[in-house]
Amino acid sequence: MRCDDYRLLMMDDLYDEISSEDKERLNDHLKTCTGCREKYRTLRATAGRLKQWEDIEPHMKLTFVHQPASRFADFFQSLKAWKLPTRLAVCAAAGLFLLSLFNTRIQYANGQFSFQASLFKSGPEIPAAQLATKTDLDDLRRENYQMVATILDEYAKRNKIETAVMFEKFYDELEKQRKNDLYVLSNAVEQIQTGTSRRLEQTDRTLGSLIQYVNLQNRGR
Amino acid sequence: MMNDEFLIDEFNSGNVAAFNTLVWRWEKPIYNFILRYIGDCDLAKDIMQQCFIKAFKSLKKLRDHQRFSPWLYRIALNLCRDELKKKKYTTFSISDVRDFDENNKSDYSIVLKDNDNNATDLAHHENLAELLQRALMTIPEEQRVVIIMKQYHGMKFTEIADILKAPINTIKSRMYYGLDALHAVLQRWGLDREDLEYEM
Ligand SMILES: [Zn+2]
Repeated sequence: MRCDDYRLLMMDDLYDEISSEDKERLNDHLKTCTGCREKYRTLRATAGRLKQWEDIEPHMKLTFVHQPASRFADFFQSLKAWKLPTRLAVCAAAGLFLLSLFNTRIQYANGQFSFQASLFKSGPEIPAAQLATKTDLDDLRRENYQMVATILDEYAKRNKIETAVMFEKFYDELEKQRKNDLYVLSNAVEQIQTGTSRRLEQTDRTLGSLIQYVNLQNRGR
Repeated sequence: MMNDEFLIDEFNSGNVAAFNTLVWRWEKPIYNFILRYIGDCDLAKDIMQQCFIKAFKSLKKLRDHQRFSPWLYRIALNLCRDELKKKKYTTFSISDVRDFDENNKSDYSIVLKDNDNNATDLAHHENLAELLQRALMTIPEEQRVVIIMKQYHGMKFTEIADILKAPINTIKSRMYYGLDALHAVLQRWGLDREDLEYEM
């Protein structure tokens, strides 16, 4: 070995990362080579000098807090951590919520139905004839809940089932439900049209939007 | 004892306080690492803050939770390097050191030219940390970072090689040449005598 080859061993030895065989080899060389011995002495002294330079305190305590702005992201983050049934339930609830946001809303008040497609800007609620009964709507709502309950039950029974399949089924069901809702509505629209022409005039714009909405939904599908 | 791994798991499951514990544990070493690398207190604080913010944002992406500290040092180092590029700092060449010797005497009250100066005068006038900081800034960046990691953070050569993504013998070689270069600078400044005592 040449002198240059001992440089790395000097570093190993200086920081106690040297094997006993290498240490022996290094020491043997240093005994016979004045140049390397002197070099190692100065490097050791330099390292010793550096050691005298102590760490200082930053005097700055950083503290992190949750940012309210990222709550939405947090929601999805925490969603991942939840157990699958909980996740499903939350997704189902969110799905129903979205349905209520984006689909036609049907209200029953004072013995009459009114409807409003929430996607449209405003439009006053138009009273329609009694085309559907309260029971129909209650059935719809119950079906929605039953569907979610069934899915959760199914999951409990067959907890090995793939989540993806589950969600696909769920969304298919939702979509079927949504189409059914729209069908009920368009029947109502049709009856209004064949009913009083005066009422039709009044509701013309809203109906136009509704049809547009239906088309849009169908195209989206 | 809550180790880093445990705290990372806690943080990933939504406990922000766990991250603060990590910060309190690591802010002093990270600060001193940045400070020695960059040589400016205010800038070091600024970079340290950026470092932890970056860590906060990307901790979820850290796969191997056992390698938190190398990962953190890596972030700090990258920020330091960006800063150097931005500020167009350069390490001093030997000629700069000579300029420094001649021009900055008044600032630092150092008589740097000859070895036969009264070294005890230096001890009275100067803070060792400031002098070593100056010396450290004169050597190449790749040697400086190895010296800082080895001397002040007690990392093994393999750990340094891992952070810097360089072969271990390259790291040892940089350590050797870095120490050698520092020795030359300290000798020029009359600081190579081991018996000198400094007020910290
Ligand atoms: Zn030799």
